[in-house]
Amino acid sequence: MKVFLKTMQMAYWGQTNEGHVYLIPRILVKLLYVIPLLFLWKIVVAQGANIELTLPQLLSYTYLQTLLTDLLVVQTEASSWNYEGKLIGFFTRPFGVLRQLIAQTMGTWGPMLLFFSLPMFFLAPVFGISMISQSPWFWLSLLLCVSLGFAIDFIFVCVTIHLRGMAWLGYVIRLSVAALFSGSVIPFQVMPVFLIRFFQIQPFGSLAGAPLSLFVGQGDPMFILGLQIFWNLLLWPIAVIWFRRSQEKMVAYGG
Amino acid sequence: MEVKRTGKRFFQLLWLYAKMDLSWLLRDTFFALLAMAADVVGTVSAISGIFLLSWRFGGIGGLNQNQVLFMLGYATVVSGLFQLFFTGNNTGHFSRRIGRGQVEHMWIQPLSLPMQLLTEGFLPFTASSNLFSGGLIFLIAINQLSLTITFLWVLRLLVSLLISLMTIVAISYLTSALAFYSPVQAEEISTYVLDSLRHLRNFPLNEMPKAIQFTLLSFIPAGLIAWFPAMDLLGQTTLGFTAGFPAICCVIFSLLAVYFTRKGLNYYVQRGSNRYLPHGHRR
Repeated sequence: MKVFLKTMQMAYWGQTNEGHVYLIPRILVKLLYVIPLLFLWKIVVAQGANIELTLPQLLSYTYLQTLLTDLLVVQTEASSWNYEGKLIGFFTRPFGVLRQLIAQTMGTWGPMLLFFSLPMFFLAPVFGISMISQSPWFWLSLLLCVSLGFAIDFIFVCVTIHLRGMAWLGYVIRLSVAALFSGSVIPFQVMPVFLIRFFQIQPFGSLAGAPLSLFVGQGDPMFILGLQIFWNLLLWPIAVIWFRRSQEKMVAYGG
Repeated sequence: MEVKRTGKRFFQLLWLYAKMDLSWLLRDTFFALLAMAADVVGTVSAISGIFLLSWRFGGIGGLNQNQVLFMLGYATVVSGLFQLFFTGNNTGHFSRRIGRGQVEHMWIQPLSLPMQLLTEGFLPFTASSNLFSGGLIFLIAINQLSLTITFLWVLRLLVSLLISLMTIVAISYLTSALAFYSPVQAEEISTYVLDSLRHLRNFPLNEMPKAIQFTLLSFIPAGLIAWFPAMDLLGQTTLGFTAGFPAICCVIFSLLAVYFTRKGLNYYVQRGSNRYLPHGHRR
């Protein structure tokens, strides 16, 4: 555990040791991203749309998504590090490669969580947005979401390895996952009705969409958690076994 | 060593990069097609959220669903042009080149820096999929809207596309200049900013508060990449600005990008980069 925490700390320092001022552009972009989206929901509701979610629920959903972006659709640097050769260094350390990747990724979440998410959490009432979870199952769902996010990411790494290090491919597909299939930008409940069930049950639907829905009090907790557990149980063994078998095929081009 | 800047050399280099791109497509067809398909999936997914939303509600923010599709099609064509000219060798993501300590590699070439950056990224075969898919979406929307297409309208469209493209490139280079000072932290800053613009540009801004419209048309010019030009081409007024507004903003962003890139380069010349380990891989 000590090694894990130390790796996290090093990753955190990697993000801030050139100064916290370099976080400002990311914070500004995040702010400027969430504000139009919040107004978009106000416009949708104002035009009399008949949807399952109320305006306060939509606002809480989007606001929380912005605060927890990194956790809701986990993205490690493994695909690009494999391509660049940086991943090789991980094999020289007395610590499991996947565990290093998890610690490293969690460490990089730190600065934005501390300097963006935390202040914004406390500022939410100023904007009239509730940050109180409507379901006690939210935290468990978030944990399962992060866990599943890592499993899916490692599977993408394996795909990348078998595609001779085509990190671009994984990056593009993950962008589409984040944009549409995870429910992180637009809640499944406001999608065309015939697509809602499909979006909910596919594996990416157990990422952002699951905890965010529970947070705003939407959906059946047992169904959502059951699906998340199912995908975790299915995808983690695949990720671990496939990664172990894929290691021999790694090809690095160098920086 | 002579630094060649002629127009002839520019087109020779574009031809050279086009041949290299075609040879990759022919030599490694499966992987090249896979990359092209992924590009299409990524771009279509990026615009699908807003489109599905407008489909369900019969329009959104004062635009009907075909007008939303028109705007999203325009945005995808702009993305396609960016990929066509600025994907190769990360020329559209200059912060990566800076952050990875690769700028000095460019100084040993017998070509000026702008000439390299304007030609190295050209991938007319493997990076054209978004341009085609965006063009198709755009044509479907034009057909659905029954727009009257005149020569002047096409000319306006081409100029708008060029301005939108130049605005994206200017924003990318402007933010990339941070990587001169913070190579590790800002290596991916252009990716981050462009990804955010990619999401932001899809919002129909018609009924947004004036302050948001103004912000997204000035400091964070996501509205200039798709919404403003699309509304202009559809003949709708936008905040009372004239059609020349995007061009003025584009010039301002370009000048700022040139100024800060030059300033950053001077800093880089003095400090260099320490990103490489002795065995060649990056820190």
